[in-house]
Amino acid sequence: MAETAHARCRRAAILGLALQLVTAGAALLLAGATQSFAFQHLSWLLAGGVPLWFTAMLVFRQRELAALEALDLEELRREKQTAGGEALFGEAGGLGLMVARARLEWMQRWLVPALGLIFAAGMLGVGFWSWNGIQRVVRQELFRPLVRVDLALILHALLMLTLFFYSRYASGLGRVAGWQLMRACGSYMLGGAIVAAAIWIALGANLYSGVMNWERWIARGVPWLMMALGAEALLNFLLDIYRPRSPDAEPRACFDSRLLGLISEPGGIAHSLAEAINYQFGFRVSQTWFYQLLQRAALPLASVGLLTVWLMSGIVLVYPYERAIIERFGRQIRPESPLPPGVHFKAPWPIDAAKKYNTDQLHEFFVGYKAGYTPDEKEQAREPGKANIEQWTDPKHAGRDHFDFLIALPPGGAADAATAPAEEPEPRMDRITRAPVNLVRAHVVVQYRVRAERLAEYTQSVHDPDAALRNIAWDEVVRFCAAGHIDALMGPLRDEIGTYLRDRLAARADALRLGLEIVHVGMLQVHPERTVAEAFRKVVTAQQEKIAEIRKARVTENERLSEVAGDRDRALSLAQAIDQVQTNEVRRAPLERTLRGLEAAQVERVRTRLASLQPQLTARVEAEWRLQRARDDLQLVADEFELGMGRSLAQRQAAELRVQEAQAAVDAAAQAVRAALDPLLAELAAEVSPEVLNVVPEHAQVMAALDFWNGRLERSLTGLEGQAAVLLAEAQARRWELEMRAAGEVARVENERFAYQAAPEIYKKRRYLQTLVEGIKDARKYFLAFDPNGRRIHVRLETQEQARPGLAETSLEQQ
Amino acid sequence: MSRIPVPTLVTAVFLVLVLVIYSVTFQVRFSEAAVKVRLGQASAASVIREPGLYWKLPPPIEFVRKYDTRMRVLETPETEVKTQDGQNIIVGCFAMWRVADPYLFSIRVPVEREAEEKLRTRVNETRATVIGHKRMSDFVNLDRERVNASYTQIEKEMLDAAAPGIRNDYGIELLRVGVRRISLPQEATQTVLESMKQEREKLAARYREEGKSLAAAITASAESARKQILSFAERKAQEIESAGVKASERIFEQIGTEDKDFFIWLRYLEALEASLKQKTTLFLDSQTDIFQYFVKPPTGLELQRGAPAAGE
Repeated sequence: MAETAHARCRRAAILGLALQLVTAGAALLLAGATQSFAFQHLSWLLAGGVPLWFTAMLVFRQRELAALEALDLEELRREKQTAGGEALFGEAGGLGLMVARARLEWMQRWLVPALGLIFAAGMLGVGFWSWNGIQRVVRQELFRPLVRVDLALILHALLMLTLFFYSRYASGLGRVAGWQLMRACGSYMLGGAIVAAAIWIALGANLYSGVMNWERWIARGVPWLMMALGAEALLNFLLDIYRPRSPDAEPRACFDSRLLGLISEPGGIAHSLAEAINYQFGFRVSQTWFYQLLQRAALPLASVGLLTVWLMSGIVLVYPYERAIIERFGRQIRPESPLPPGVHFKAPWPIDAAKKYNTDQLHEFFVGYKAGYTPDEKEQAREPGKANIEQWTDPKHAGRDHFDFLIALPPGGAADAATAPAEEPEPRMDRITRAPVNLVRAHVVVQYRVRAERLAEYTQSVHDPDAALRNIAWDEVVRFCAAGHIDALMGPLRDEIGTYLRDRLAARADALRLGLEIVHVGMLQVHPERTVAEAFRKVVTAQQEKIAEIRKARVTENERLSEVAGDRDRALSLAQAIDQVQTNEVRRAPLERTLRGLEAAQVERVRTRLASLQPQLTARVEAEWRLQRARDDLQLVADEFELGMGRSLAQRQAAELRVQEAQAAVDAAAQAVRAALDPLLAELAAEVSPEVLNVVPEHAQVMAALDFWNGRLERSLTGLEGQAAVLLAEAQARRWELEMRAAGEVARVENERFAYQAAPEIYKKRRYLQTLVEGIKDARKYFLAFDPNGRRIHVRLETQEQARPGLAETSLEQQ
Repeated sequence: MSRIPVPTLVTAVFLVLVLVIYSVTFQVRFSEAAVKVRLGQASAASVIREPGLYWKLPPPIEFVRKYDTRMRVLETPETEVKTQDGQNIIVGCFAMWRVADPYLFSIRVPVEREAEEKLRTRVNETRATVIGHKRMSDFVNLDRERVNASYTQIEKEMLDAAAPGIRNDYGIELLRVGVRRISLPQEATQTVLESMKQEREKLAARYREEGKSLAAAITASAESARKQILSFAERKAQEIESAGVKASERIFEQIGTEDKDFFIWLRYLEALEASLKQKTTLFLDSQTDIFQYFVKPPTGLELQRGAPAAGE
């Protein structure tokens, strides 16, 4: 079989396919050898060219077959014409037998677009997948330093040059009419070669200058390139549907990238553009006058544009929240007074460069989470913008794992810490763990800003001031927690942490000349680990149960005291007065016995002199009474405050103040008594025995107390209510009843005496019979019309009468 | 030979000029130091610390390596170490360092990432040594002053131990070492958490008992006050009542001696009246005087013989 011109393209396509496969594999090997994500992505990019070369191979093979078929048909026709016969294939010119050509047309119409679609989908899919992968690497900081870079540089240079030269060869073939598919493959391969060149430069920068970011940026950029090529292929496919069909126009595959075409034909960018436009619109746009004008003026216009852009680099626009420092050839110009917000001018790049810094907006970070963001199910289910409840038992907060801070054990254990805040310098060793620590979860937020007036420090001292501050904050929070126990951290220390940490951080930031202002430090949360949190909740429940018990007891107390005396306070006051009276009565008895054994004259003399001290003694007793009342009140308020029973801190402080004032009054009263008593006793010391001097004043004090408390008692009885009042009122009523009855009877005797004396017998009979008449009027009467002696009489009474014991059946028997 | 258009020529010349200038100049920023390497050779004199624009020979004759000389922060991984008193803790540190000798740095650790790795190794080493001589109470203690002093001391010891070697070996000045995180190994964490749970359950039981005992005390105190008040009221009532008795006796004393029999007879009559009140049942036999009046009307004399007996 004779070889056609298409065979050359077919062989080129086969070789291109092989090269594409080999280079993709080589890039993958280099990726493994150097730990480079850029190589890995280059490998996917190069693999994307395999279907292109494969398509080209199929199409050119079919072209070759169609050409051979056409030659055969032509030869056959000539033979028939020479033999003088009629056309073998009729008027159709034998088209019905041109199977290869028909298959070629089918390929160009269906197979090539279908493969183009597959290519587009593949590029988009792989590009998106690679981009996601590299994003995860960036987030989790999984970049590793490159290794074996020197060897990779050499091998990669070979790969790059192979791709470049072969792509140029393929592009050259693509210039021949009907071989445009080779241009598509060549352009794609050239794109791969350019990415490979970029990687080669990045490797060189890494090896010679330690620059790592370039390789990473390429690794992040290649997926975007793949997605762009995929999107372009898809767009081309759609545009091709609406393209006007002209018989002489060779169909252009959708994967024949117009973008890469611009690069593969650097000498004819305008030509490439014109060709693309002509193809799409179906007529020669490039021959219009406007296009011709544009082509002539393109370079001057581009030059003017570039010049303008360059000159515009001399304008600095500083936003309201920013300050800028101009650097002239790397040297800062007046960094102590940075450029304020507004428009400023500088020499164009690269002479001057303006570095802008965000000085007014607040920045923040959190301390208390482990690194990495992996939201749990609850976080994922949370609707954006909708409030959700964060609980101690949540496995994560803000999508991050908690860090467990070491904290000290409570002094004497948790049970004691709740009530006794005493300090214990040396932590006790825990019985179970032997680790003298507990754990707590704390979330601290630190907000800060760059100080505009210290921008020089911010830029000159530390490479990454934010990272420095973050580490210092961790250091300080770790220290703060290590010096507290869980109840203190969840209670009083929580209020301190903001101010304490802000001051400490500010001091350390100043010492390091970070140029940062610590605006706010706050403890967002402090709580135990999630499994321990359940136990903490049980404590809260137990506290509530305790409060409930106490509330119930208080209700009972109120009920009982109100029942007995009308209200609680009066009852307590009355009980206190009763108690004090009894106590002082007990004290008085032995004193009076002693006094009776002493010389009466001396006792009387001292008593006379002490009479003048009565007001001071009474004042002291009253002051002591007021102090006791203030203490009782404080106790009640403090208990209710601690138990959360509706008392405020202000009320508690007011009660404490009242106790202090009452205590001062007691001290003053005692001082007044001493001031009056001491000179008196000194004066009497020569006249009376020491025992008298001891006993009589004490007796006087007891009597003063008794007087006071009896007075309080009497006052408490006024307006008394409840059972006690009922008892007293009943007693009072009975008293009056007795007295009134006695008075009534005396009056009756007085009145009836005269009637009796006038006719004693008649009076007595009359009164007697009158009494009988009145008495037996309503009585049940039984007349026994026989002599009852020796007889037993049974009387059955009615039901009403049976209720009376002993009368259900009465026997009357003569004794 | 075709003639090259002037604009194209100008553009090409311009581009070449830019490339040439780019290859023979370099810039050192205020935050950097540069080491100029000529044909692979450099010395301490090759270091440029002042910011500005400098000349160099084009590559590959001269290369320039630039280093940021500002302080940098390095975080070390969290590693398990043992304290002097046998406690295992996980400690993560951070170090602040800067390139002090760019020339030495460029020779020993040309890639900054590599420098960080080496620095990390040194800091890890000193961390294990220093913490191995500390007790757990140096890290966790209720005395805040002591904790701060202890951390500061630990950080200073780590710095003093690591800094000189790093300066001489790598040209790096270690400025600060700090403790970033301290935690417990997983097993110890679980044990501590279990212990905390037990403590809290004990506390909960204690609150419940306190509630009961406090409630009982309040109720008992109220009951005591109630009884005290009632006893007092009863005593007071008895006093009042006895005062009434006393007063009535004084009133009765007003009755004269000659009227006393009459008074007593009146009281007997009252007693009889009282005994006949309410539901009284009388049995009157045929012998009773009053019975006679049912069969024989009274003449007036019988009345003198007496009244019938009354009974309930």
